[in-house]
Parts: sequence; structure tokens; C-alpha cells
Amino acid sequence: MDINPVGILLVKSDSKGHRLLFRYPFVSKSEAETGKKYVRQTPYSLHITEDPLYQTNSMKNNGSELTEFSDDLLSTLFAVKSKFYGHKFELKVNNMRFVGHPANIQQYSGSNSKKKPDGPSSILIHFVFVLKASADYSVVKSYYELSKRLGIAIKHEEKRCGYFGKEMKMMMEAHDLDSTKLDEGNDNDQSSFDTILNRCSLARNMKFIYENLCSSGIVHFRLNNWIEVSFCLTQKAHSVHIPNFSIGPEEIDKCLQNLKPYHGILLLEDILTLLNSLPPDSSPSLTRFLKVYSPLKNFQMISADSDLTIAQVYNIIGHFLNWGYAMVIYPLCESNIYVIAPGAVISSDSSLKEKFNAKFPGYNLLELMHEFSLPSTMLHKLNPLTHSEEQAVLVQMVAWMLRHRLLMQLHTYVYFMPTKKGMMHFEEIPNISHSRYQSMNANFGQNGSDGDSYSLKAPSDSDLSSVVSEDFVKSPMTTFQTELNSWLNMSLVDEGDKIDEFVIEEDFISGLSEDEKGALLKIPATSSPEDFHLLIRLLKQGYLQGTSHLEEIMYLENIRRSQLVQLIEKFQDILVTCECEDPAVSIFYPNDN
Amino acid sequence: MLRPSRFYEGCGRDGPIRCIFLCEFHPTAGPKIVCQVPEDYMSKDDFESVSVYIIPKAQLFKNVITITVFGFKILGFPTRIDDKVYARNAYCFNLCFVFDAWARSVHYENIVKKLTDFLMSLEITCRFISQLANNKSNGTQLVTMLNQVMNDLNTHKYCVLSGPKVITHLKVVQIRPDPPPISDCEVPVLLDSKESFHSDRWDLTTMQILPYINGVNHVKKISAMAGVNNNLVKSCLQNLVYYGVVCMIPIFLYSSMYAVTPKLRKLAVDKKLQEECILALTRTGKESAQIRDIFCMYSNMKSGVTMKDLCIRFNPLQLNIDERSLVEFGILEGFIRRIHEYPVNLETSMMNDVPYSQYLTGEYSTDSICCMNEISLKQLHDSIESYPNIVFICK
Repeated sequence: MDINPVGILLVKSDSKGHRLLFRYPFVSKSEAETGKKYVRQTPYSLHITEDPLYQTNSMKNNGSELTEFSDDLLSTLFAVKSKFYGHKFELKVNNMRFVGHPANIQQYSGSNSKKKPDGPSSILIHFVFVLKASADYSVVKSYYELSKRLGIAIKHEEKRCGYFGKEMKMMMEAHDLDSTKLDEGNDNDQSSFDTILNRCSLARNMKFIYENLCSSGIVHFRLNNWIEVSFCLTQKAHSVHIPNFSIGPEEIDKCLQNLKPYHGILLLEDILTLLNSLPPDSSPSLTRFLKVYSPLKNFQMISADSDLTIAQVYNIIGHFLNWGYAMVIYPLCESNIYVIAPGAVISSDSSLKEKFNAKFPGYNLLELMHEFSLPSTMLHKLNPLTHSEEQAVLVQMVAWMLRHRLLMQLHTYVYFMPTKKGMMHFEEIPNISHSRYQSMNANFGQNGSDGDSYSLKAPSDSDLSSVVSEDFVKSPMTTFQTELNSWLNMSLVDEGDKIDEFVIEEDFISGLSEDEKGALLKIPATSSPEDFHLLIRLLKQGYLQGTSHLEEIMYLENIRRSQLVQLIEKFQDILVTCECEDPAVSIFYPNDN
Repeated sequence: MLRPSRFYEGCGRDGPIRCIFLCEFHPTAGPKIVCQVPEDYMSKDDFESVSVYIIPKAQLFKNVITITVFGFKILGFPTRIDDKVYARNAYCFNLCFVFDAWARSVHYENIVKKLTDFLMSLEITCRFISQLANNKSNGTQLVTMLNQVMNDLNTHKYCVLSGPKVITHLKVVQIRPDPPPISDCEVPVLLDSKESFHSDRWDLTTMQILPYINGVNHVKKISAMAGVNNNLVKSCLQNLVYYGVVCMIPIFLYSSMYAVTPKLRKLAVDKKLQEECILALTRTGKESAQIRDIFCMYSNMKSGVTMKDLCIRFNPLQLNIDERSLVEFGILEGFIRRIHEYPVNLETSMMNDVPYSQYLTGEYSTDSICCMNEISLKQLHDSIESYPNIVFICK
């Protein structure tokens, strides 16, 4: 993966010309030039035999060095025309990619200037990140964002106290001194960049940025000890925990959209470390969130305990995910089924094993992994004689293994397949209510479901599961009314009024084919009204089409696991169950396909 | 509601070539466009702002340069011919392709290079491009050529270009990630029928191993049967995987286990896929298998349940399901994935007394241990069974 930067450059251009002020990493003069070697981009690319007729002076950079680019050349390339100011600038030369945000700042001559103040002069400053050409687009975009932020910070500091002017002067002096020394012939080993690094705080900041991007992906410092610059390279932040694994911000956004209030998070960092690393001006909701956090709680519980709205909780989670501090899980509980994740590292002499030993002395990681080779619940691992202490350790070990993506949770999905033909054609399933997400959204405070907005939304939602049955198309009811009806029905069920419910059931059954009806009515449990009502209720909500796992059904319908499991057992001839991972959280697992 | 455009920077899609232009360094006027198709795609203003990157400093000549700005992506390969006949003793030119900023352009790099070489030979042999201004017929010929390149590459991804005395072939070759290394115990499966395989397009070694690719033989066996060196077989197969001709699947054993992936849901709802599936795994000469039986068999696959267990439970023979095809189809469509077993010795200190101890580190699956040592799974189980410290981890 090509997430790490190859280098960072700073170029200025003003009325006195352009100059590469600083680059990091730089090569000291004494270091020899690296040998030129031709590297093919892929094993399938043609090896171009060079013809002396076509003389080449191409820079055969090997993708990790920037030595072939002279300072002068770099400064010409990135001292861009004014037309580019404030736009994304991206240049690719062979297998190097350069990305930056050229920013224009007004220079205010410092108060100690002896010259007459002649108004602010305009300077172009351009922080350029050098990446490998194969870097992913989202990585490039993140670096662009950082370049932009640096530009803004510099602009602010320049306006406040002429910071950039001073730094630039120091850098220029060092460069000039170097070139005069060169003219005089007494060349020393120390390059001007070394001098700059010693003297200028901006250069030290750039070094800091580069090193942090390479190590953790998180950059946090105060420019000129004043303005805070804070940036996270999401792709890198997650690879710190799992080597060679990256999640982009786009994927996280997608994941956030699929999260439900029954999900929970697992922090990847120690909670105290996190609390201490928060800047003093951070939002108090963050602290509140962290104080009530537990991997056993779902978002709704966290929201209730911390007195934050669920929308706020989602926002905080978004931050944690982007900064690589957390992953989404279904809250830990005894009935969760876990199995070894397909990407898990199994090795008898891995550092992971030692890390585990240090944390849980007396336990063997591989043995534990062996125990989870077959899908099993924590309940299986416990017996009535287990001490509560041991139980706590087991929970911690499972959390640890989840954090290191050694374990993965399996969920049970249910499909209603009454006949050999498989599932009823999903369009035929009379599904009068898909209000469940709507109502959830209303709870989040994201959008209210007033009649108008809903009927506008209805057509776009009417893909897969939510197609209104023919019965309802025939009736003059609008979608909104059916919506309302279903809610009414549901509340009626709660009140124990069975009449309307019965009508709906009749409706549903009349929608089935003869074979399907036969298969359904053959089941002895059909005669028990309670079981039958529950089955029809679940069918109507579209839960038995493999989209909702048991936990989701439990949450949305507010029923107990035992009830649901019993129901599935009773109707096992027409229901097919399968166990697999929840796709909503699968982005947190390395995928080798 | 406005739908977000499918084309945005980073969407990873290919886009058409929007424009091809040729520019040169004029001894007095500096960088200028001498010819472009379609005309006036690049305005003079836009060109001037990027000309630094199109006719760059001397060090950057003969380098592929792509600049993305203002919604354009310009791909060029600046070239210089040193010769005394030119003013300033050199002639600099650059043939550039222009794309939309969202389009991927890496796979056009070699085409730009090749086309540049083509123009260079024309220039060296008959001063074709440096004399464009004085020679009207050359000008129209170049416009026709560039138009041809643009249209052919956009529609056919292929172009044969002939100029005076020179001919060149251009082809857009997709750059894909390298396929993973092939292991001995994997089985190659042809994704299309053998008949659609153009024998003239492949190398001799590939042709030699092709008859043995039947979805049953594993790599090591193919190598032995075809009498081709194992590593050669692997690189041939890797090449075939790269071009999407074959797919590698794990070897089929009745002792192997599989697990369901979320993709299985597709089979429940997609009628077309169901038909394909029934067609693929009904036993020959029997009545069509039923989708619920197929789905049930898939959904019961999990760690701990071997194919043997599954067959005993469902009796696929009676259901007209061919279990081998069931697994193959499932793997290819991604409904299921193979669960491998990794034997691990928990007691690392007594490594040496145990048979195959060097393989018991957790890095080798039972498949690969058996394949490397040419033993059966049963033999492996028998020989390590008596050691309580050896456990199996499945993933």
C-alpha cells in the first residue's frame, strides 16, 4: 500500500522569484547518488529496450526516492501560475505524484522593517506532498486537504504576526549562505537544509508532519506555538492497529449510513489515553461519551446514559472511526456467536501472541483461537462454576481478539421459503410497513416523517423489500395512509385487539399461492394463534428475507431472543436460516478478495 | 432530488480521450499548439497556464507527465530531438492526450509513449512535424491520424496507424492489480468454455497445460501431467488469472468445510442467478434441482460441517444436485468461502519430536501440508493425532 508520503516540499513564489524553501527528507551532500535502476511498473509491462537513436535522459526514479529532482526543478514545477491559486494541483511524473494546494498570502512587512511600508505584497506558498503514483485517490485527496489546512494556518499566522515572512527570511538566508560558500569553494558537509532544520520552527514542523504521517497518520501540533493544526490520515490511522489494512473516509461514511442504534463500538485505544489526548478545547460531549462508554452498550444506551441525542452520538462515532480510535461491533453479550475471522493471523511466533501473553498471563492465544474455530458463543465457554472473575477475563479476551480482528461475529439471517421454488418473489410479499427505518430516523432527529416529505420519498424507497402490494395499489390509499395504518395496526396488536390484525393476516395469506398456503398451513404451529400472528407480523415487516439478522428483529420488534428462536424452530420447515457476518461492519475486516 | 454524478474524481472509471494535441517549442513564440483534434478544445489561455508542464525543463524530457487541473487531465511525454538542422539545435515537442479529471489515465501512458516514438521516427525520416507550418498536406494528414487514433482508441481500444513508411499498433491494456501467487494445492477453473479460447493468442506453455485445466486437477497435478515445470505452470496460471480467463479455487474434498458469506442473499432474491445456478449444478440427465434445496445446502455450510456431513444430511444425489458443482458455483459467485484448517503445535519447545513439525506453525493449512508432502489428509491426521498439543485452528 502506498499511503506513506515520499516527501513534503515547501515552495514560495513572489516578486523576487520562486524558490524551494524546504524539503523533507533531504539528502545530505555527502550522500552518494543512488544508482539508476529501471523498475517495471507491473510484471506485465513491456520492458522497453532503449534505442540509442532515441536518446533518453529520463529520470528512472524507483518510486521511493526524490533525489533525481533537483531543488531548482521542484521550485519551477510548483511555483504555479496565479490561475491555479486556491485550486487542487496534481502532477504526476513517472511514478511520483505531487499534490498540493497553492495558497496566496498577503505579506505584511514586519514592524522592524527599515523600508517604507509599501502595502502588503502577495506571496504564493505551496505545500506539496510527494506520493507514489499508485496512491489511492482518497489518499491523494486527504493529502490535498492537509496541504490546504497548512496554507490556511500559515495565512493566519502571517496576518497575526508576520510569521511566514520571518521564517522565509531565515530560510532564504541559509540558502544564500550556502551558495556563497559554494562559490568560495569551501564546501562543507552540512547542507543548507540542515541549517534550516536547526533554525526554523516551520521546517521542524514539516519534519514532524512527515514523520507522523509515516508512523501514525495523525498530525497534531501548534504552528508557531499558536494556531492548532490537526489532521488525521484515516487510511493510515487504521493500519496502525492492523498492519497493511486501511479504511478510507469514504468507506467510513458509507458504514455510518448503515449503522443502526443497536450497534455499538469497541475502542481501539485505552480509554484513559484517549481522554488524555483530547485537546483542552474539545467538545464536552466527547468526554461525556467516553465516560459512559462500554463495549456492552449499544448506541441507544450510550445516548441515554450520556444524555446526548443519538445524532450527536453518531457524530462522535464518526470522529472516532475517522481517527482510527474505534471499530463498530454488535455490543458484546453472551449470546453473540463468534468465529475466527478469515483474515486472522495464525502464527506460533507472532508478536501478537506475545502481546496477548503480556495482557492475559496464563492464557494461550492459539488455544483460545482453537476454541473459537467452530462458531461459538461466550455462553458456551462459560459454565455455572466459572468465577465471575474468569468471566470478566473472557469478555476482555474476546474484546481483545475482536480489536485485533482475530474474531468475527456471525449473525443468523432467516429466509421464508415455503416451497421448493424458494423465497416468494419479493415483489409479491405484501409489505405494508417499511416505516421501521422511517421511525428510527425520526428518532435520530434526522428527518421528520411528515406526510409530504414521506410521499415524496416513497418512490425512491420502493426498490427491493418495500414495494407496496397489489392489494394496496388497487385501493385508493396513498402510501402515507398505509404507513399510518400499519402503525395503527401495530399499536392495536399491543393493545390486544385482534380483529384488525386478523383482517391483515387474511390479506397476507390471500397473497400466497396455493402451494405456499398449503405448506404454511401444514405446519402444526399454525394452529397456535400467537405463533402464527408473530410469524405473519415478521413476514409483513419483511424481516424474513435475509436482510435483517435476529438481533435487528429483536431490536425493532422488541421481542426476546428465546421467543424468536422458538418461532424459528416451530416453523423450521418453511424457514431457512444461515449464519454469516453483518455486512454493515465488514469494512473493519481485511478483505483479501 | 439530484442524484450525485457517477463521474467524480476518484470514481476509478475509464473515460474517453477528449482531445489529442501536439505542441512544440517554437524558437520565437515559445510553447504552442500546432495541431489539435477536436479543434479548439484547449483554449489558448488554458494551454498557456499549463505549458510549463507540457514543454518542461530539460531534466523532465522523456518522462511521462500527467497534470490534473481545471477539470482536465493532460497526459504527455515531452520529447526532444537534438540536431543541428533545428533553430536552437533542438526540436522539442509533446503529444498530449486530454481526459476528464475523473477518468483513469495510467493505461494510456504507454500509448502516448509509443505514439511519440512513432511521430519521432516520422520527424527524423522526413521532418514530418517540424515542417507542419510549411506543408499543408502534412498538416491535414496529421489531423486525420490524430482523429483516427482518438476515435479508434475510444471505440475499439485498438488502433493501427500507418504513416509514410512507418506503421504502428496501439492497444489500450488495462492495468490490474497483480493476482496473488498461485499455490500448489489450488485448482484452476476456466471461466469460459474451452472453445472460446483463442489458441493462437496464447503461448506454447499455456497451450500445453490447457487440456489439464478441468476444474478438478490442482496445480501440482497439472504440472506432473503436462510435464511442465511447476513454477512455469504457476506463472502461466497467474497470467491467465490476470486476464480473467481462469479463476483459482481451493481443491474439492469431502473433508473440507465452507462458510456462508453475505453474498448468499443474492441467490435468494435474484431469479436470473437462480436459473443459472440450477443449470450449473443439476446432475446431468436428471430433473432440475430445486432452488430451496440448493439454498438449504449452502446455508448449512459452516465451520465444523464438512462436505461429507452435508451430503449425509441432504443426500444431494436424491436432490439431483452435483455437490462438486455446488461448491464450485458457490465459490465462483462468492456465496461461500473455504474454511482452511491450520494445525498448530502449542508446545513450541518439543517441536522436533513431532512429524511435520516445521509446518505446524499456523502458517500452513492442511491442504498445503498434504500437497507439499504428498500425503493424504488422513495420513496427516493419523500421524499427528497422538499429540495432544497439536490443535487445529479453522478460518
